[in-house]
Amino acid sequence: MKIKQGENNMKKLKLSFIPAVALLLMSPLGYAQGLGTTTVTNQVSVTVAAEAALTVGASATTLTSVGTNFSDYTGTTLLTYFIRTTNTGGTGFIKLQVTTDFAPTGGPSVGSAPTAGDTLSYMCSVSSPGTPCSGPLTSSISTQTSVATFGTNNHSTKTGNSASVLWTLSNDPLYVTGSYTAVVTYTISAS
Amino acid sequence: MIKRFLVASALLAITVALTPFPANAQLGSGTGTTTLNVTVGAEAGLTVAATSNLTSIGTNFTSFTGSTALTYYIRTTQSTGAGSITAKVTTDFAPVGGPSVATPPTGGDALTYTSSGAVPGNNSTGAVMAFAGVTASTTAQTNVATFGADNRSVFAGNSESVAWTLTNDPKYKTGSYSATVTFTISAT
Repeated sequence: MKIKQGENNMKKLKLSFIPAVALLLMSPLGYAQGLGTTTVTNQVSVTVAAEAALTVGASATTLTSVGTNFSDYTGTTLLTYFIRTTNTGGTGFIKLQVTTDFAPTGGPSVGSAPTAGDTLSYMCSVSSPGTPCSGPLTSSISTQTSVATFGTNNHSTKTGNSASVLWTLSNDPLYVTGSYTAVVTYTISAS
Repeated sequence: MIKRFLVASALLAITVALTPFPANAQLGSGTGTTTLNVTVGAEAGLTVAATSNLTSIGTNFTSFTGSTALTYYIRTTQSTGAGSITAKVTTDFAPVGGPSVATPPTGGDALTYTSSGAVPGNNSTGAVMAFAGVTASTTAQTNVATFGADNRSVFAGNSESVAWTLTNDPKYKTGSYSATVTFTISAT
């Protein structure tokens, strides 16, 4: 008698599982139908702002003098600039500053030239859309001086545009013979 | 299981942190630097003020005299450097019949000079700026000044002058005669 009652309970349990499994299998169908479609769209937003960057062609620029009768030392530093200025009211610039004066002492100096008139000056060559500086300009250890300026809505190419700084260093007989090094820092900015 | 998840998460975070931003790597940065290198070597240069006219005072065969002003620029090497200014008559007096450096009409006729000048403006150790009674030559360079190691003129140059004396030989035919003197400056 007890055995028969147990068989009945098992049957009831099995019967109660069947609708539950059926519901489980059906629920994804109900989800797909009610909560989406086969195509969806999503909005992607980006804000493109003014930006600027540059690379210096080589880590060192060597200034040389042609001949042996005190011709000025000359050399060229190549730059590649990347820029995007704001389409209304935007501007930008490239500037340079001698951040470390020539060393060791006894030779040329930007900060304290041995003779008045000794200078490290430069001319600028800048491809469009940049406007080159109106040189020659005298470089400084205390202020940034212009290399290029940019106007509203200026854009370089993705691979960058070229610019160059053509250096001229006075060749003062007072300089003690030897090798001298200075560091120039370039800064580019866009708004 | 949790441990594996944490390890995987940590590795992912490190990978992301070490991966450079592509745009940054491609397009440089807001600032860049370059060093300017210059090697300052021994150099020298000079200028000659003008043609030098030799004249004689009086009419009794006083020697012809005159001077040539030079401006020199020099930088000699530290420790071992040296330099000089020399003169040479590269074209003898012409036309013939007058004075001559190479073939004077009379033995003892000569073009001589005495030099003098300012020492280099910065460090003049070893510099000799005066040479007296030097006979000019068409075949050899003769000293006007010599320089020592690490001698350096001022930027505007330092001065040197050559005071000429030319024998006034009655044998010379009257007329105008010209010679060319070449000054050479060198520095090591």
